[in-house]
Amino acid sequence: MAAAAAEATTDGGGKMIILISADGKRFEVTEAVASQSQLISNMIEDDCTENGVRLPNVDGDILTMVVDYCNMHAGDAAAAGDTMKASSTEEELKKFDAELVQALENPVLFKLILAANFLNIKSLLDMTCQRVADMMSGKTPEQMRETFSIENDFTPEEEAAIRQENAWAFDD
Amino acid sequence: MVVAALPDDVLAEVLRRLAPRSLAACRCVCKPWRDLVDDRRLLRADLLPRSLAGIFVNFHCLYSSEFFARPPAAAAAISGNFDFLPPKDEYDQYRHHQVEGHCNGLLLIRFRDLVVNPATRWWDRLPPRPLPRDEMDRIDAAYLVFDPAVSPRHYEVFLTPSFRWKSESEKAELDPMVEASEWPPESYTLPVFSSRTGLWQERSFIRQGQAAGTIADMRSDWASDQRNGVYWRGALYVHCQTNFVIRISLNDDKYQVIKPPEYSGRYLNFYLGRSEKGVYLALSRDNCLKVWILDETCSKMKWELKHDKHIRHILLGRNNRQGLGPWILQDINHQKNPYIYEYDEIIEAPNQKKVECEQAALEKFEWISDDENVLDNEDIVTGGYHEYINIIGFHPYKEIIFLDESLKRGLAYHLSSSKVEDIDATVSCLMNEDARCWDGDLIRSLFPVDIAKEILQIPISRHGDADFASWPHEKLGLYSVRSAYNMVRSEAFFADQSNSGRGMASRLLESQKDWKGLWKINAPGKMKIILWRAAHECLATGFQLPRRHIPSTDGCVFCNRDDTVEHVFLFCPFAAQIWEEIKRKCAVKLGRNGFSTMRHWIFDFLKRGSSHTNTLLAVTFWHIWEARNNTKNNNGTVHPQRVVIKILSYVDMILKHNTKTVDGQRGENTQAIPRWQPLPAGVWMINSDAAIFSSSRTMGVGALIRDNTGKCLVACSEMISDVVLPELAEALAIRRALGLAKEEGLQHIVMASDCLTVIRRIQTSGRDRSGVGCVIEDIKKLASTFVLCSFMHVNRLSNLAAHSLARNAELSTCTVYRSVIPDYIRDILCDDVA
Repeated sequence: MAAAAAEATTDGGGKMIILISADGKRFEVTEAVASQSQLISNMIEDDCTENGVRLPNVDGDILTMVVDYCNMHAGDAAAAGDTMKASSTEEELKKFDAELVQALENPVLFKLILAANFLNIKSLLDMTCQRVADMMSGKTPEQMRETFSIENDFTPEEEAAIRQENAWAFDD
Repeated sequence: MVVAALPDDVLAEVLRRLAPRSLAACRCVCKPWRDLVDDRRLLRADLLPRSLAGIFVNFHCLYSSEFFARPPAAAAAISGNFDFLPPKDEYDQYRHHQVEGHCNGLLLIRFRDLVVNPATRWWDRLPPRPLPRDEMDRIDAAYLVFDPAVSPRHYEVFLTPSFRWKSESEKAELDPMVEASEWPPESYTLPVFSSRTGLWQERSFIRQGQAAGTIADMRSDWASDQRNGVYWRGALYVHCQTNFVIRISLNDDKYQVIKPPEYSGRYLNFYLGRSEKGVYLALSRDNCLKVWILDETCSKMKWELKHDKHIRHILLGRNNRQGLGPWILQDINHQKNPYIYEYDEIIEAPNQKKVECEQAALEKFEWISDDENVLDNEDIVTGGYHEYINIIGFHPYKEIIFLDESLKRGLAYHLSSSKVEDIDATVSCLMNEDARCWDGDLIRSLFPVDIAKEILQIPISRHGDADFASWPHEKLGLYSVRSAYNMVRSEAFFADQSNSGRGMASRLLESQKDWKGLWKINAPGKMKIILWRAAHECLATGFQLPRRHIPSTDGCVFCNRDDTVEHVFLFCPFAAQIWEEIKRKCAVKLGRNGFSTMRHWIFDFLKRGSSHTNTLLAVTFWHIWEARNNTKNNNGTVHPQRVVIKILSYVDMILKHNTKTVDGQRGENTQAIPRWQPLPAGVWMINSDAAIFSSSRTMGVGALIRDNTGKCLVACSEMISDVVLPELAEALAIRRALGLAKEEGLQHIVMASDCLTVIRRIQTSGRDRSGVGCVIEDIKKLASTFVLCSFMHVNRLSNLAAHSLARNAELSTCTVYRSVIPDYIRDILCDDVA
């Protein structure tokens, strides 16, 4: 069945590709959607997607998000020729992206970053990294430790010294 | 899942999106983050505001801003010269860069409207400024906003207006409605340039609270001088007419008027600045320094008086102290235009100096005054204090205010402790006080290589002698008119002058050779003088005399044609006949056809001819001139034939009798090597010599101490760097040798050197003002501490041992041999006593 699905074609997108998550969930996407991932794009070029692509370090629910994202943006890429449609979806896309990352809990966000990094999807990685950077900016070290649950492994002396080094950043 | 699970690459991807301020906070979160930031150099601390690298100061009479630099330890020094800006055209290098505004190390330069970061050598150019709406009535001043901790790449420039002052008659023409309207207006529209858009755009700011007054009020205050603006935490503070300050909040497009402190009256020179704790206002009046700090808590916006002291007592206390702060004035105006700078003392007027830039760059430098540098204010000296104090500016990160005292010296005043530091650099900053020598590393880090070399080879007195004026063109260092005349005539002087573009003949060297050739002619001086005058066309011919308003008959005495030099000596039938006769007797080619000028012809002849024909030329010229004058003065005309006979016999005589003898060979080689001459018992003989290793710009000192029997006590071979002058080297060698004798505790010595000039200098009483003067004085002082110390000049050959020691110094920095004789001088010493 997998082989049949992989060979099946849809009216719009050419060849279909099966993505298999770590917990065995399968996602069927068009080649155009999948090749936003540089990793999969390379695999397609090398013709090794016949039996589906196994992604051992991406969970099913994360892969759902990635596929959603790719589907949205593939539409954008495919419709690039059709200017009317592209311009109308641009706003929607932004809104979609914002909602996608805004709603995420920290652990999920990090998993999404890892997936984007692994699959090598530049736009998704950019967006998620920016989200984390936004969460960091303007915070004191204490607040950052709290937000990201990081243990302070400096001794008080070390911390005082390192603060002194960048004293200009703590002049409030 | 936690952050720690993210691979380093991904985390770095996140962190590189952060502004420096946040990144610095991230460094403090945990060790892995700190290491990541440091390893990948995400935080370019060297580009961030952190320390003060120097101050730009605008002097009213100088076109470019001067830069007072804090010398960096190792990293590249910041230059206030802006030589990295590409020149627009060839005259550009003479343009002046005056700093108009500054913010966190970024400068706004008036000329060409440039925005420059001198630390990173980055620059950008603003598009043309929009014209003020009612052009003649208002003057716009520009204020730069740049916060590297928020955005390291972008900046903004704000233009705020001032109103021109009007006389009573002019005021009558103004619209009373407009004049009575409040200022600043409810909605204050300012032209703002943003580097994000690259455009000047109008931005409106909505006022919160009261206006400062009316436009008519504004007119009562002076508009011409630009007042300061400072940026502090997202807001721009601009010091406006009538001394109020507006606080423009950049985030929410609102602004607010801050009234001046209670103290105020009109025409007070408030200084708005930024420092450690925020926005400050300073006023220096009647020797009193007042400093206010803006209290922004709960949006109060009130000036709190922070400091109010009679600074004159404090300053009096440090009158006797030397400046110690190592600040260097980069003499930018002098570099750009030496002519202008020479007049600065005349033009400089008080009260016209203000700081334009605090500048940030290098992390390593901390403005922390070492305690010994700080002058304690407690030792108050009584007496008059007649200086006036100007405010230069605030230190951007510490509570220090820079002041100047009657434009003579700069001071750093610590607000909290009331301590004062001088910020002028003195020459002593470049010296190592204890060792009494130059601090070579510091000098090399501060100055260009060639200048550093020049400095390092200046000898320093060991005894801390007072400085003296020395004239380098005279042996004893005393000025004489003759030496100045010779100096001005020298080739080097001309070459120097023409190099600096003051227009001298480019073919100078060649023509100098020509003149030398003229004077080398083997002929009596009087004849050469006539030849020289002919070449200069300054003989009393009928052509020259009228030009000097001396009445004369114009024509030639023989043929009545134009009486020019060339006619007299070459073309007149009389002269021509003489030359014909001479040609018949000797092989001379005149080459009169290509004649252009007399000088040219003479030099051409001299170059072609042999020494014999050159002599002939000089003699012939003289005789032609004599014959012509005799005729002119009616002493009877001589036939050319007879003149020729006279000439030829004269030439013969010169060749026979006036030939210079070649000097006999010097007899040095034949002279016997002087032997060791025994001294009275208890007297020590010291030999010294110096050797110069010009390739490494170092010198070697050789010193040898022997007892009265010729037995060697100490031999010393030492290297001294940065000495290239032979005389100085010899003097330093003697000083070292005497020092050695002192260390050995000797009391009766005879000091021998093979350098006669230095020995003579030492034996001359009175101050030696030459370049080696301070070393000579040291030697004299040192010599007076011995019970017996005499100096003698010895033959080079009897000084061979010391010479070998000096030559060997190149191999090791300092070697002192005690009771061991180095191999390479053993033979010499044995020969000596044998």
